[in-house]
Amino acid sequence: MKKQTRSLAGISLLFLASSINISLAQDPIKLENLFDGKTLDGWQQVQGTAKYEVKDGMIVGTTVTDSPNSFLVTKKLYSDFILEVDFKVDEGLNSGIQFRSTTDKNYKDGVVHGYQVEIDPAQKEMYTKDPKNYKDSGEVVPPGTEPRCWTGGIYDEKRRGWLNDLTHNEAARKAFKPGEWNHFRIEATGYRMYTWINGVLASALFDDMTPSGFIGLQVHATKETKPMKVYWKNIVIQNLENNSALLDKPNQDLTKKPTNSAVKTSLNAFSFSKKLNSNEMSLTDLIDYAATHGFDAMDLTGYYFPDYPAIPSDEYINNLKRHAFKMGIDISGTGVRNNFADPDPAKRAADVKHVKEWIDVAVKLGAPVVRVFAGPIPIGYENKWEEICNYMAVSLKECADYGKLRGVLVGVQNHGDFLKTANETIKLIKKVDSDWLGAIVDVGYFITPDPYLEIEKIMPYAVNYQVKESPFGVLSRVRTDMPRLLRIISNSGYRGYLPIETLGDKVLKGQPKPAFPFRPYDADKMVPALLKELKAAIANEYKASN
Amino acid sequence: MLLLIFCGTTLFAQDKLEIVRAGKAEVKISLNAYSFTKPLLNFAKGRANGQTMTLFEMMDWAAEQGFDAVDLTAYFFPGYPVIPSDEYINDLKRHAFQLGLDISGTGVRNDFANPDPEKRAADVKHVKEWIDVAVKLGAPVIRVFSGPIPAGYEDKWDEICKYMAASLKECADYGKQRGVLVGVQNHGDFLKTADQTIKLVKMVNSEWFGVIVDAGYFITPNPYVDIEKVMPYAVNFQLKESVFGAASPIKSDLNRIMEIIKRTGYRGYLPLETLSPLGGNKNKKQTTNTDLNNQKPLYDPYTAVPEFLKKVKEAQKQAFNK
Repeated sequence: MKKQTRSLAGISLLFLASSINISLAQDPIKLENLFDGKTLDGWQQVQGTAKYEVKDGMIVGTTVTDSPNSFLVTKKLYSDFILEVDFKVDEGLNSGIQFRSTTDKNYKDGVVHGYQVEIDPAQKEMYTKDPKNYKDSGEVVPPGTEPRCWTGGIYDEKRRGWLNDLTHNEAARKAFKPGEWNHFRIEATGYRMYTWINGVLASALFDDMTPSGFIGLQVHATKETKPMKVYWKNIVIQNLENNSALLDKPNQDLTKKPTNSAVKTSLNAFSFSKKLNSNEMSLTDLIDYAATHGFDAMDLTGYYFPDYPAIPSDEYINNLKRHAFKMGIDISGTGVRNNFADPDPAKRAADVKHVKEWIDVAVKLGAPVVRVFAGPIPIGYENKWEEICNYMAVSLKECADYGKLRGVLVGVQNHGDFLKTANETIKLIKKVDSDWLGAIVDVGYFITPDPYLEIEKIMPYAVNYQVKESPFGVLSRVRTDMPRLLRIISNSGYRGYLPIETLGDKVLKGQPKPAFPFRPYDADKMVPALLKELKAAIANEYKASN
Repeated sequence: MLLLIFCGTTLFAQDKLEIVRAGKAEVKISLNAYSFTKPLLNFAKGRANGQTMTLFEMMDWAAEQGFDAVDLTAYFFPGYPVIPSDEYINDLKRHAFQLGLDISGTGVRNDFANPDPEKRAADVKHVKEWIDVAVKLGAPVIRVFSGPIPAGYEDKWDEICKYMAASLKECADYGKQRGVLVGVQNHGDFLKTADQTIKLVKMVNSEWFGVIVDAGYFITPNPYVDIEKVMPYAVNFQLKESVFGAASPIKSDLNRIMEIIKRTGYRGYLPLETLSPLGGNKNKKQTTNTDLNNQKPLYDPYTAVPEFLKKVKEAQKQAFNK
């Protein structure tokens, strides 16, 4: 009997995975049903005496008096995931969904603690306390005139309290539908956590206190004798752990090799693209930012020099260079816009001219390497990789020759365009055949099943780096496996910079807008968080050698 | 009115001489090529006898030892003071980059204390030429000397200071044009104290001019006080084994120096320079009280540098938790 149930569950899981498909998320990782609709298999109640039962394809929680907060939690632990769930709740019952939560007998007598996505349905009770709610217009909601409505906020249960309330998110407060079915989307990937209530972004939280734990359904303690209920259904999860089956980690030799590798951190200016483009921030400000946040260096992308692609004045370059030096920030590189995949020789020649001009800028700036692109495969050239490679190599050779003359390395970035794999990149580099040309290793832009294998392969040609949050591109939620990346880098003997670059979710060129919601871009939070993660991985990988 | 504007700018510029740094103090450890004077000169001058070392080899060695950067003193470029070829400079620069080493600076031979204007002009010309080398090399700062007080000028410090400042201003102006900082080193010569050094810096009055803090060459009772005083003007450093000169047996209190760096918010390089106790500069011997005539200790940079580096890194770790 039990065996049969399990196989049925298996069938429904398969069915679900194929029917929901991938519209909920970017990564080709199957969705799993956390609740089979019939039993509480895979769940356990770890606290409280509220009743949890299965009814009509729902998990129903019912309050009892004289109980602490009750939790029905997954037996399995989850770290990085996207969770979607429908819920309905009686008006007077506070509830919530725990994630990355745990119990520890040495912590407050083993109480359930950790992140909770709040369910805050009270409608009759008007909110009077601090912090006050605000309208989109910036006005304070007068106390006592509206319910609190923080459903979708993130509360740290039995630990730090509110981490992300909805005081400044009127849209999310209005999105909850009292007495009806509501929908949560919860994304937790590394230090980034997001919630959506009925499609409206509620929380965006950066935190790294607990990386993993169970998922749990809360029935809040109550003094109300009349039983109240909360209902959950369609609980679907996509497990995004960075060592997912997508990646062939076991097939990569990651045993530590003794090398003399050493790395320094750098900040790629592109991370602050928006602020730089809107003049909210200058490159000088960015250098101060890098110094304040503990970077070793900065990568000063060409686009952010005033009037780019016009060549900046010596005075501007010199002042920037001096400022960086005085702030203790090295300049790890610079980069340009170019397209050497263009079949028009005149256009390529114009871009070669631009690269040469920017090599002159690099000399003045003291930037040791200029990053160039290959370019996208032109329409009609889909089957002409070799042909493109031939003329591209000629253009790159011109650049590298000029680099040799001026003492600046040229690095071509694997940008998921003409260069999708390590083999393609190496082929191009060998064709150019210059000591002054190498690869800018873009961690996020090898378009292969396991980018780490590509990274290992390209390492002997690396002249600079771009460390990204995901090895699978901007929309992927699978995070870069930093320990694995650092092991590959260390084993290769690489000595150089590891600039980080954070990116915002965006519609990819030529692709329709995906069905899943985008996360807001917040460089001020993403950059320090990614740096912290990278620095921890560096410290861990290189600790033995220091 | 015109006078008012002039005064205004001057005052403003003077305020700007003190470097205000964003973020917390932090240092990167560099190796000053001078530590390997003998083998480097043997190679550069084509001497057949004795151990030789190229700058490339020195960088390989520095990378192996775990330095962040190297300070490539000009004397060790083959043919110095002749300007090296672009090819040589470029190869050197690329080699450093591929080793993960920054080039923290370079430095020249010069004497701006010399009363002969022609000699000073020749040295200004040389500094300018070497600023061009620094640009190509990607060295952000060039170290220059003040020079020794000439015979007969013992009581004319202010007079020397004036003509020296004029020469240094020419260098700094060219540095501004080319994007290279010029730093004058307190070398126990014309510059013996922090006050003297700061006086000179203020007289030169350029944002492209600062101090190379030589931790071993303030000729004062308590060099740590001078080090701290001069730190706001620091554009580079030379960390020595003793703050009392090459021949002193009293070791530098590295923890104390790190604390000074922390307090003053310095963010930059900390090049180490080990010296032979019997090295060439007369001043060193003057400042010490040890009699070295009986036993000449053998100076071996291959052991002296790693020993010193280890101590410096320990002090760095203690101060910066790095």
